[in-house]
Amino acid sequence: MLYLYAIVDAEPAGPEGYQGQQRQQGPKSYLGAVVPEVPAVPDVPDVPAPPSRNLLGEGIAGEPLRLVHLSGLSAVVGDLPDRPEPDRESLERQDAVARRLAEIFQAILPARFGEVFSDEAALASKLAGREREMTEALARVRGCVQMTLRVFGEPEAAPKPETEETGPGSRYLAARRREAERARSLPEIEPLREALRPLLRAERIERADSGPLLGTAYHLVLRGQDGAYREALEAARERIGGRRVAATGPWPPYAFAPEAAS
Amino acid sequence: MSRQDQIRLEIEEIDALRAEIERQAAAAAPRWNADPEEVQKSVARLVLALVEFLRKLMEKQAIRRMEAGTLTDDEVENVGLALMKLEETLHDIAGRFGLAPDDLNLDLGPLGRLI
Repeated sequence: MLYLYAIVDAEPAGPEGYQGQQRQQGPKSYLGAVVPEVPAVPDVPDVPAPPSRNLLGEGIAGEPLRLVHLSGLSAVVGDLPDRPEPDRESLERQDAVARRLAEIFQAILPARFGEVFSDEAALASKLAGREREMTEALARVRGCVQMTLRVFGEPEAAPKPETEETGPGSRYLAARRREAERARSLPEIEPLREALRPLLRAERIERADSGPLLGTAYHLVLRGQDGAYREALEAARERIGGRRVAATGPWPPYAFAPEAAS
Repeated sequence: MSRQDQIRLEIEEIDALRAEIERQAAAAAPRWNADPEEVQKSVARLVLALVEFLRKLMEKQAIRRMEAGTLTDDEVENVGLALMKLEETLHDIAGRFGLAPDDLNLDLGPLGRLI
């Protein structure tokens, strides 16, 4: 079966990047990542000979990775006999593959763990019609890494409903609207977000339902700016009323990848 | 941040992740149950989940139109009232089958939750 590792942008990182290797070896059959197709570049005499080894490396079971072009996208895949078990070792290996691919490609949308397809045709049918969505997502993550910020502490009181005279139906809809907005926001860390904002290329917020975890903010920052991100975070840490934040990263942009199998 | 604060934060983070994994694991187990003893409840759950799915879609559309200002105040009131009563009715029927509101969100396996 075909195991999807990522959708990638096949733009080469340099003369020894993936494209040079592709010219040498031709398209491979293992889908590990999906990338927009890049037109062939004519051979230039002064370009150094590409390395002969497989730059994509190996997948979670040691299988060789290959790049396939489907539905206008490029995907990095591997061939596995069975669906892998979601144990710690496999998860760490898949993360290592995503990190390696992020070094090779300018833009990568890592797949969720366990995305298997019977063959390339099955994957192509899942990707069909989603070229625009994936291409936009690739453009968003280009040259970026993900920082993950988990926020703990007491929630801020929900805003009071407007007091204007309305009927129960209007109040019901207004309450649902506020709930939906609250699920996508973390007003508790607004001063922190203000300090980080110059570094952010994109943001996604997931509010938690209960417990000390208030929610998670996923931030896209340019590669190499994770140090500046942590510095800005440390400087603003005291401004959020005793709430606690834990930053991890840099990660491949896991939270900004549309699910290929959805 | 002191070393003690750092450790406390790490423990909180691990606890939160554990709670999330346990929540996901619990949610993944009960799918459509074809056990003959439970078939009435299973069918009720399936039907009510589909109606709840449609109700939520209508609710989202109503909120979108309310934000866009394409509904009059009277229309907002009427639509809101209808959706509220439909939700109450669904929860009432679900309760008679021993189903909680959360049970009306079907798990579609690799496709995730219905709503």
